[in-house]
Amino acid sequence: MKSALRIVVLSLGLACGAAAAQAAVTANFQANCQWSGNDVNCVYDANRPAGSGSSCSSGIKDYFWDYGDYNSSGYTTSSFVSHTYVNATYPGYSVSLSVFCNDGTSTTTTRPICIGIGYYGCININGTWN
Amino acid sequence: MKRALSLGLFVLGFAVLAASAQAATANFQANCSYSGSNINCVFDANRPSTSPSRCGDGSFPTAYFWDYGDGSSYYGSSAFVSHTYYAPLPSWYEINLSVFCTNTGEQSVTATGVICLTYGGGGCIYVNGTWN
Repeated sequence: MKSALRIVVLSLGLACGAAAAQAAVTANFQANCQWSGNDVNCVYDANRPAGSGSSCSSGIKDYFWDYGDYNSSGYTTSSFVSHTYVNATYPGYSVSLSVFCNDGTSTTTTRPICIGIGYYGCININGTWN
Repeated sequence: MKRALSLGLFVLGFAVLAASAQAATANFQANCSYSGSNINCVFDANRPSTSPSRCGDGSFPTAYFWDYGDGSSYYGSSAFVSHTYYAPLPSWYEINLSVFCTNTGEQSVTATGVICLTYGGGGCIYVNGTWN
């Protein structure tokens, strides 16, 4: 009975350890984009939002920014990058940030930029007329 | 001289006619909500109230062509339509509205709106000069 209990406690501990290892890498970012003529200028920050930016428990090795228009940063140690979408077209671009950790783990987060041209713009899914 | 003037007037008249054939305007607003993994939307061509879809003479369009952007569309007399987008959802849907005025022969230029869908938790990025 005692050894059975021990096994349960041990496997519980292992499960917790596995869960903690999965949560040890996070890819988050925010963007600040503006129109400039027909182009859209964006800056991306992997340390935003404040308090829940990208992180690795083993430390971040590097980042890979995929801008969604067939351009990317390549592997970089820059958590802050900028990119211009020349002659930006609707509906938009899918931006991906991959975070690579010193212990070999990694994760990716993808967010769409919504490009609305002219008056009509983007429709938010928020239960209001817009 | 007289002949040149009347030719000029004729050309001017033609230009005005051509311009009025495009005078109908198409506008719309949407009201969308998540329903489980699907999205329910209603679209209204009489919004916004400051610039609803109208014919050049201020009358209501006689027909509306709604392209919902997911392969389905509606052509008919309804300025107000509803549509459900079923999962799996892509990143965007592009909605197009054209209006027609058979009494005046007008057709609008197309109004386009983009529904941005959130997936993966990160949400949509809007081009508005703020961090989001």
